[in-house]
Amino acid sequence: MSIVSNLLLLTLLGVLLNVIFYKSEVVQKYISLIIFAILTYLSIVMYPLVGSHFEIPFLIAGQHIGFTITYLNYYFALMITGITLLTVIFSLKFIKGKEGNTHYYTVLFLKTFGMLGVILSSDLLTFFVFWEIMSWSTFALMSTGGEPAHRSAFKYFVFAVTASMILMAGVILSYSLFGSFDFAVIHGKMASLSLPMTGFLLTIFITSFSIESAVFPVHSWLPDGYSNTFTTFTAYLSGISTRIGIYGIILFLFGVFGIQTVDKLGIIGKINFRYVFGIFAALTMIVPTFTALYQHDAKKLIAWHSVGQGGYMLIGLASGSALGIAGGMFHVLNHMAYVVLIVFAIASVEYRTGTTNLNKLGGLIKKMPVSYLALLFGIIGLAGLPPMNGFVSKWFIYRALILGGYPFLAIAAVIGTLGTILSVYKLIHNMFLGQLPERYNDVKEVGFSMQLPMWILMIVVLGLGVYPGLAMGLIAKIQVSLGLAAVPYALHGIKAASGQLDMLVVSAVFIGGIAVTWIIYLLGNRRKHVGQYNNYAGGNFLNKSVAYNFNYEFYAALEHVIDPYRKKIIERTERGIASVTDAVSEYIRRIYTGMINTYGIYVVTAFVVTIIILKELI
Amino acid sequence: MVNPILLIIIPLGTAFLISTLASALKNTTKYLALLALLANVWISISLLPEVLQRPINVIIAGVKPPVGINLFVGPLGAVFSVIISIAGVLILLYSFKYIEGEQQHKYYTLFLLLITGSHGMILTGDVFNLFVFFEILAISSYILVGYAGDKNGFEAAVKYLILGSIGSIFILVAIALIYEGTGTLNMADLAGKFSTLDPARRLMILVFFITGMGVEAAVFPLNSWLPDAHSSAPSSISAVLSGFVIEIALVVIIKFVYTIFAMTEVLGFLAVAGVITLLVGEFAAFRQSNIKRVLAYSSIGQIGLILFAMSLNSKAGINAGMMQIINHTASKSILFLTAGYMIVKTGSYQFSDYRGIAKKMPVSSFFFVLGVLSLLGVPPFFGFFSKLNIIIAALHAGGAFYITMVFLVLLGTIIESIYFLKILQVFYARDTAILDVKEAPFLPLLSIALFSLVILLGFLFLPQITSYTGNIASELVTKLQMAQVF
Repeated sequence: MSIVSNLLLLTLLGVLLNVIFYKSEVVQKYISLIIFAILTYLSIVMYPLVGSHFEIPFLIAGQHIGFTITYLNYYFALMITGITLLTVIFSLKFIKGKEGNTHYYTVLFLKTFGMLGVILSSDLLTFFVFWEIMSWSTFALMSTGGEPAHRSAFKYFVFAVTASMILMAGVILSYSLFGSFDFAVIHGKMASLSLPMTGFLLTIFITSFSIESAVFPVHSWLPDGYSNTFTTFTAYLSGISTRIGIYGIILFLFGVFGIQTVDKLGIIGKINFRYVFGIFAALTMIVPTFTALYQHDAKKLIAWHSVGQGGYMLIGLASGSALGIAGGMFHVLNHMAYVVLIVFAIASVEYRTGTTNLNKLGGLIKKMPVSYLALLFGIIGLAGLPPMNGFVSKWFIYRALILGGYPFLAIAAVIGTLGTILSVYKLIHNMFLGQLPERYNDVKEVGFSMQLPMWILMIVVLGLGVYPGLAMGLIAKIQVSLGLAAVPYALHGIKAASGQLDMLVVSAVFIGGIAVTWIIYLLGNRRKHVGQYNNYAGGNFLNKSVAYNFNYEFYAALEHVIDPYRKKIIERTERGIASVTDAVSEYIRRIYTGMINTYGIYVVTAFVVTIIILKELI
Repeated sequence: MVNPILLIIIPLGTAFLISTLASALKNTTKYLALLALLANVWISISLLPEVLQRPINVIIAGVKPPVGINLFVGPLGAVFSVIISIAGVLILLYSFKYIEGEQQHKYYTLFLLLITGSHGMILTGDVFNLFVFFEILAISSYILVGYAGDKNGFEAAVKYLILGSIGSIFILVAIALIYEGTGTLNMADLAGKFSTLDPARRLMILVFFITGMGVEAAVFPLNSWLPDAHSSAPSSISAVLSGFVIEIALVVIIKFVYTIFAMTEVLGFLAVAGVITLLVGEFAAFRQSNIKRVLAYSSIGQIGLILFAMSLNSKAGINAGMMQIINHTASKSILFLTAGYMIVKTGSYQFSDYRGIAKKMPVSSFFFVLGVLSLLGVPPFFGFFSKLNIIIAALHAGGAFYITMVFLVLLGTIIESIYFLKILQVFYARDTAILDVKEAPFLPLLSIALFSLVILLGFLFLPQITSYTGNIASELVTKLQMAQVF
């Protein structure tokens, strides 16, 4: 028994046990906790086995199901099992008594099974098989949560099945071109393929993965799909599920096709395949991020951001330089850590108050200090400010874009960050700052099992910010294994010739700056503590009867600016496709009139047409 | 050696027995039918290993071909007999509870005649006998479609009857032309003489035969009877019709084109017809609200896919097409049979009335999901492997033409996935308006469960299955039957 089959079989065992014990929530949650702990342990101790290949003695189309452990999939396996474990710990209390939770852990296991299979597979066919399992279980994850969830999951399904079919076309086209499904064999034969065919094949694969990782303009399934389900699933989906698409892009761009082959795919002048891809990534950064600004549901706001942050990862990969690719890969991890942290904080608030509506919350800082701190850490990471982890990877990406000579893409990245800062301020303000609505007077902080994952993630977010070298070691190894240049790194930064980053200094300056501000504030001595109703606005005193909640409809004006474009372009296109499909099917349906005389005419027509055509063929 | 002719004689004889003894046996006729079909299962399975060694040629009444009549059991005949008898016995098991009433002996008589015709069509070595068995099959299925006796069923049966008769007249004309031109009706003999005919006559024979058989095989646009017939028939009969009847007609066309007519140059046309049939079926199903019509149109789509695969002029294509037939027989039977009891229990054909039915009929809904997943080709179900093989075979055929065809096939799959998912979402909706609905009885569920074993465990036996289907492919491509010497 190899470690890979242990991992996969254990996950399947989890599915099975959860199905058997679907009536007992207690049994389910402890089984899941134990199995995910073992899975995390197994994926950590997999490290010495990097480079080994496993086969399951079972043939599909004359092909063994094969798995390899590489640095790249080791990195992703760690993320998958780790974040699932944290999600399970957080869920122990969170989903208790919620409607529709009987299959909660089952779909979580099934999804993990699919994702682990996808990332560990060493050939296209295994990849595709697990990809399908993953898509269907994502659909199942999204469907939990009543009628709106069903609708948005359906929308996801339409996108996902399209992506799967495109992927299947790519898989089998490469099989007929290279005579093998194996990634290594295909990589070896790639140079012999003509450039237009290479471009066509790569476009097929990248399109399919772009749908799964919600690249503009095929991102519209994500925000509703992720926010209508359980909040813990929002965390899980935003944190890792979407990023399997990024894994596919990394694998195919650098592992299967190879950066040398990709760079040969020029279009005109400087515009090559990577550049076009970068433009889509830039749009993915900007449009969804500014859409996030005017959302008034915390989950939806974060869901839009997880579309936008995907753009950063992709633009890093598209830059093609060692620094940019490292930034893109690092951002996957960083994003996972802070976005899950943010959603856990939101989930804690939801657990206590029952809502994630930003217009209804406010002033919870003193009631739920740990959640506040978690959200604060998370949004600093999301906004890409020091000393948190998001800063480091975004710094890599900016730097790579500027050095690589992509000023417009760099500006796009900065614009995206601006939008992020504006919107995360709204998030923390509307939930924790401002006036506390009276109905939340007896809200308490969440319990230990929900705090623990938040503390762990806070440590990760800060730790990777100050000591990026902890992850950079593995990322450098991934880069070398993919035939790319590695970024020279130290424990607390990088020391490339093109630029250095020392996060200890940056953090020290940042903390020093805060300290100086604090001292000035203290020295000013013009403070007076007042209660939340001892205040005035617009010349009126505020009291309980006229509480003035200026959280309401924060940034509403932007909605009038951005929404029309989004609606015009994307929603109209989607509706257009839907109504064309409807119209076509309506017309075709009418062929079957139900009248026997028309049917007779069909037979005669078919007879004549067959004669005419076959006469030419024989 | 077991004589393959028993496959035809046993159901035929039992059918007569049932109809004559009906008044004495009353409602126990069904056990007689079950016994007959179980014997068929045993015979067909025991024939398999022998046939793979060497095809069996059975001479009837001692007169040698080409004058006499013979049965030819090659891999195609043997595998198809297994499919027919197993599907037949399982659907019969389902009918035990599903078909009730005083007149049920008529149902079982016709059911056995339908099985007789099916075996006969696939095993016969004589062109005129093919027509006879075709008529037995067709007439019994016309009546079975209208078995329930309601207005819809009757109307559908009449439409089916009219179009089916046009089809059989075309076949008869083709056979007459063959006999007039070559002076023989024996398939093996005919294969040698067919190429001596002048091209115009060959063309006319081919066109009459393809369009005639195409009506029963549900190739677009000859399939207009199908949505009505498959949706108005009793669900067990819908399963039979979709499960193997249309496939038999299709395989007969393919067998004639590859071996007897040996006109593989028309296969490109059939491949295009297949893809058109596929797209028409899937798009027409897209906006249906009647669950049985959805399944019926989906059968059109699937038959198009099978036709496409088998017309690729390669062993890989026929192999993949046969696998898809096995998949379709199992999964479409599951779908029709589960839908059958949903209709009985809720009294409605509209799937929008089944909101939240998964709570009331969890087992049926579960099997329905399995059937859908395999039909759509989701791994690791059997349908995935057959669809995969089809696409591999198509891309091996090479060229931009086949790449385009593959993209159209995948487009069809997308459409198919979407409309099936719509139904599944209704089944698993959390709110439910259905109150007093109960799960289907045990026996029908057992029959459905046995069908689902095929799609669930099929992937464990892929090497064995592909060895059988691969033998069929070589039988057709190497024209095995025609190499028989008398």
